[in-house]
Amino acid sequence: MALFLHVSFAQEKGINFKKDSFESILALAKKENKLVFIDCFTVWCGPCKELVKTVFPQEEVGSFFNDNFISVAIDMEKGEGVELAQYYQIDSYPTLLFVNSNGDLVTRSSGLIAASTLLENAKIALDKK
Amino acid sequence: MKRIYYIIALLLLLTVQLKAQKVDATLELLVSIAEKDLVTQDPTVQDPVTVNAKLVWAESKKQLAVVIKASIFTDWHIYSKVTKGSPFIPTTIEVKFPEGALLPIGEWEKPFDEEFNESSSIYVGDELFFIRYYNVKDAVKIQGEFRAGLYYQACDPFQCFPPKTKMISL
Repeated sequence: MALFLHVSFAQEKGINFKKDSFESILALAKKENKLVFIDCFTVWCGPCKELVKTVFPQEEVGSFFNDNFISVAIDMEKGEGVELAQYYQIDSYPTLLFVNSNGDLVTRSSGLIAASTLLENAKIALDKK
Repeated sequence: MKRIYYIIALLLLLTVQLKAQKVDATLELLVSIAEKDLVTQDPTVQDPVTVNAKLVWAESKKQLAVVIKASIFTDWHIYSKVTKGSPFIPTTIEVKFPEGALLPIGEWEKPFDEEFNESSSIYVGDELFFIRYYNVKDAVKIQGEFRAGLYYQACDPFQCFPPKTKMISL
């Protein structure tokens, strides 16, 4: 029980990534009047794993992103990720996208970045909203 | 008596095979010269792995070597070995020869790699050579298409590019 509570608490601290279709994610973003944050990753990408391990779980990051974005992590080689990779012209990983509820790109960044940079990028995206 | 003939035949076959496995010493010398002559384009952040390759013939024309050179941009790497179940993608050597033209002598000679993490080893550096020697099995078929290159997946500490194949016509 203690372990379960610990895991739940740890997950709540970081970014809460929705597990849903992209269409549903966009619909939710529209409903909540938020931008969508997309973590574009592949399984063979080491820096992508580093983001998941060290940046996304940070409390400050989780708090800001959970308040302002609908977040989703998509394997760009599986399912609808393949089409999305083509649509957003993803050519390196990780790529982090901020899109509006129509799926239009607001801003993007490539590569492993620090939590502070991710927060700055998120604020820039909100300014462009 | 029959047994003696059988043993002699076996020994002859073994001798022929051993001879066929031996690489011509002058070919090895020509390969070492080719290593120095083979130029790759300068790798960049946009294209961190450049590849070139060439065929090196023995003077006898009975053997040849395929020499592949890769140059990797500073701080980038490609994977040499990964453990079973690891998501990382190891580099493979790709060749396309006319079928039946060549018979390999031994395995590919590969550059030194270094341990990267618990599930993978990597190649780094701007002078990586992959070499394999062959006996020419059928001189007529040798006229066909020869291509060689690498299939690899490149990363630096911050980003990765999708796997890619680079083939060079020889």
